[in-house]
Amino acid sequence: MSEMRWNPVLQEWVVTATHRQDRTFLPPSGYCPLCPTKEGGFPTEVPRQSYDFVVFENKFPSLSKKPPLPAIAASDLYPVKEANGVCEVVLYSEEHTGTLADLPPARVAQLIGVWRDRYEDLGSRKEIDYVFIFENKGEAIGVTIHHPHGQIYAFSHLPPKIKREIESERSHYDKTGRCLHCDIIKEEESIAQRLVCRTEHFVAFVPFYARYPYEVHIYAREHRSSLSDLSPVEERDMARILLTVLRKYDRLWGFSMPYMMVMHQRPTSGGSWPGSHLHIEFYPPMRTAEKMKYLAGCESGAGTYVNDTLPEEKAEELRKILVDPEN
Amino acid sequence: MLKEIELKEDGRTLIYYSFAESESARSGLPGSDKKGGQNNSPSHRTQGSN
Repeated sequence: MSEMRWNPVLQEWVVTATHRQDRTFLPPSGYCPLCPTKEGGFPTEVPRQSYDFVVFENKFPSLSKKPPLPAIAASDLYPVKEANGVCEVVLYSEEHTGTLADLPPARVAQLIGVWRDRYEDLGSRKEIDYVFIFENKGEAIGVTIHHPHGQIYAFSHLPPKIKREIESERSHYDKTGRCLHCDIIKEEESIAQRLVCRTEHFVAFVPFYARYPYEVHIYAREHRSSLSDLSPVEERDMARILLTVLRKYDRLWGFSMPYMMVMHQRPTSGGSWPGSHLHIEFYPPMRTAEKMKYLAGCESGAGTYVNDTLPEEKAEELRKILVDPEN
Repeated sequence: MLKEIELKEDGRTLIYYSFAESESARSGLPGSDKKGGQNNSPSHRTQGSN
């Protein structure tokens, strides 16, 4: 059962997807559904015995190309619609162990090419308004399969956080004629207090308004609205800064940092989006090596995040960690 | 970048992406450097391109 229910209080859609209760949960490594199928072994999601990158439609999707009709009747107060969209899984490697941070830079650049292809392919479908690329990493985030992978949700609507971001972009653009994100980058590069690292074409910083202690945003320094706008040189540079941030995270406490990684870019619903600016946001859930940052009453109930740390201090901590993104 | 699309038994799509050794994501692709041309971007799509 799957459907979209309208929340008239917050003016947003909620997806109900009850079949996901039965999805694979922390299988033993010998029975990973994302590993290549071995000769004589059980059939996994990937029939071939070897692969570079694989993308497939999620077996337990929240959104689907042919969604079932809603199981509940709509009313004037409570509109209901089909959970239309696409949910894909992106496998980074045929190796069961390891993480995105362990891939060599050339492989990460190739992965960026895969992401771009999915953005363009899914975004070209007339029912898709937004292509959302993300990764949940670590059991602390609720990951149910450890094999290194990310996900893509292709929405038939603009998700609420994206919509709010776009409204801010539009308002700033109407007021100043400039991209809000370009102005943020200019300010961060000028102050430099919250910078984590910088390459020729990208910059990473803990935002002034960080919600999580070790939140980091990676931006294209020039105005690039989506992965489609990047040159090959910029793609390779993006791979370098991505690896730098990931390896700094892993070096911070000597264990593989759990995180949510999300990519924001131009909507694919057609029209003009002058304020859209490609960036990646990381939300690690840890506030120390042993303590989690929980989204508790104030965050979940009031929508106001309380950050127990100063972004300037956390940025300095991350900045001081030296890593090599080239090996 | 080589892209091979297969259909799983239950109708789901599966795509294999493969790259020649040391190949970056765009090398070898015609018109791979999109500076000055972004016609592949979704915002430029034509109606009914699906």
